[in-house]
Amino acid sequence: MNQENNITMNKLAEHLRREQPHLMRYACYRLGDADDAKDALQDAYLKVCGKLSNEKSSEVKDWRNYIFRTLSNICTSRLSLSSRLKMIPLDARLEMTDLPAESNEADYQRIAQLLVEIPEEQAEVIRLRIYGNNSFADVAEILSLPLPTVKSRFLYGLEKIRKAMKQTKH
Amino acid sequence: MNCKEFKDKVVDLFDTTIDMQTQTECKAHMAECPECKAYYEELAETFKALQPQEALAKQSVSSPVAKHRHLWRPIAAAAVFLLGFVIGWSHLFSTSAVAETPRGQIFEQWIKSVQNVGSFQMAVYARTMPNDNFAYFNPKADFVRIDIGLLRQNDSVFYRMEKQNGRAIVFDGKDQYMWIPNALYVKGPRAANFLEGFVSLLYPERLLSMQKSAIDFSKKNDVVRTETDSTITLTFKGTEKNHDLQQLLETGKMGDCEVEVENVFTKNDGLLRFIKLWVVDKGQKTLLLYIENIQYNVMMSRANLTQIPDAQWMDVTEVTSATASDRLNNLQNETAAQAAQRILEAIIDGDTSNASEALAYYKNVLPALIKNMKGCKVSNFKERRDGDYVGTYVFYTLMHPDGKQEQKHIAIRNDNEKHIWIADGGL
Repeated sequence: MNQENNITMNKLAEHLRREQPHLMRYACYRLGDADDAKDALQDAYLKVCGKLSNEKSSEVKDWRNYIFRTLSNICTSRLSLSSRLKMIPLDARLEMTDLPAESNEADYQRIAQLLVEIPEEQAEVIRLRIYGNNSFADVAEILSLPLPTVKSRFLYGLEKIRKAMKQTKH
Repeated sequence: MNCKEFKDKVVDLFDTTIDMQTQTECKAHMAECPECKAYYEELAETFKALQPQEALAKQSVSSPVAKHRHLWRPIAAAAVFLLGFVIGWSHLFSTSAVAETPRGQIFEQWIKSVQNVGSFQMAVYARTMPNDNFAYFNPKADFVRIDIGLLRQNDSVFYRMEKQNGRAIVFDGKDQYMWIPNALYVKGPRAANFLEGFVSLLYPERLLSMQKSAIDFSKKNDVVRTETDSTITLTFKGTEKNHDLQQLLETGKMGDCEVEVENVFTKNDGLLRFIKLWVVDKGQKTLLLYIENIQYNVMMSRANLTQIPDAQWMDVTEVTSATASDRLNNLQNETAAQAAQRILEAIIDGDTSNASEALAYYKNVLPALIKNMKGCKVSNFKERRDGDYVGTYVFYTLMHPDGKQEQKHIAIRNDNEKHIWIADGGL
């Protein structure tokens, strides 16, 4: 590894140190299991390190967003392998939202059931924004989408969840 | 702003940072349009429902949390951070959609009273340094008077914040100007964060909203109401570490301190008039800041408010724009310590061309800096990050020409568009 990459590795380690809680939380809300999230984060870290040995590493302008993009892709692969997107049955939607949460896991269940109300593309924007603590501009870069698209997906997502919450209350 | 424009912009109120102009415009529209206000409140309520709140509530009342087979504690820790962030910044409108419990509600009516005023002016006395950043507080420093004036006109906001004999900031509705007489003259777009955490004092309702949020966040934070014939006083005591008024005092080294705030309102109009803010560190209580007689809806000349000195203004957006791509690539890959060394050595050499971007804010004082550091040597660079500061502190040893050594530090930050290190303080 050349000197430039050593420097980049230091920056990368710094980003990871700073962003680990957000990365971990995002992965947990994406995968629904903290152990899986930890594994995905480890995979993402290895993949990003691998990128450093590649000559194209200088093309990465924002390592923070690159790590999030890598993690997002790894979560997608893991979910498509295990079909965990369907883990929460649609017919069970929202009934739990009014239940008091007994633990952090129950809190996760409550939120996951709100997110299951909306298309995955909107849920992903919401997860990256809220649990990954990314700005809309960052989300746009992570998902390679135009900024207005990210904002409208976020807004439509909130509107749909709101509608569903209202229907459940009635 | 009309309803269509509001609906185009409302999503920006849910971003990690909120543009002040957008916030003011949206708020003004909501004051006139109940439909849009209801729409925003519904979105905010949904946004709140998506936060991991129950976990937080359980933790904040110190009830023992059951052991789980999954590693949820890191998430909870991160969630605590997130909630602090969300309630502190993302929802500055004190609508019913924002964290509302009977304890925090005590602030509600007072927040509503101050948030719709057309203008205000006040004198803040804070323990700080005249030329330092507005976000800088130091309990050991003397009080410096800071005059603040704000005017809202036709959905636009204009303000002036001026430290006596020191740093000043003006926003003319389009651009922000920051200057230190005879030393620094910079301008930037309205999104330029010249005010940093001090922005909380620009809007009295924010200071109240922060206290309300802190009360709602933890039962360890407390508020007491007392009254006289003409005034009502709410005294806030924040003892929950890191969740009192940390955001207000972002770089004020408030880590483990407790905060006490006395808010005095006049009964007849419900407006916040006097504020005193103490920090309590290891049992020692120090008055850090006080505000005397906030005057609302005063006649104010926009021209006077936004008057700026006749100077050569440097645009912060142009600081890095002329940097060649190969040089930019090198600068982006620097560590903070490497950047600090490059900057300091350029000053010592008397040729700052290799640090022109980093020293852009110091342009006017460069000759004096070069003179002071002539013949010095710098070594032993060590980085230290401080959670309250967006940049990095780099500590180093400065050896004077006479051989005398001194431990010093420089503050540098790379949160600009090009992600290159810019000197921010310590020179």
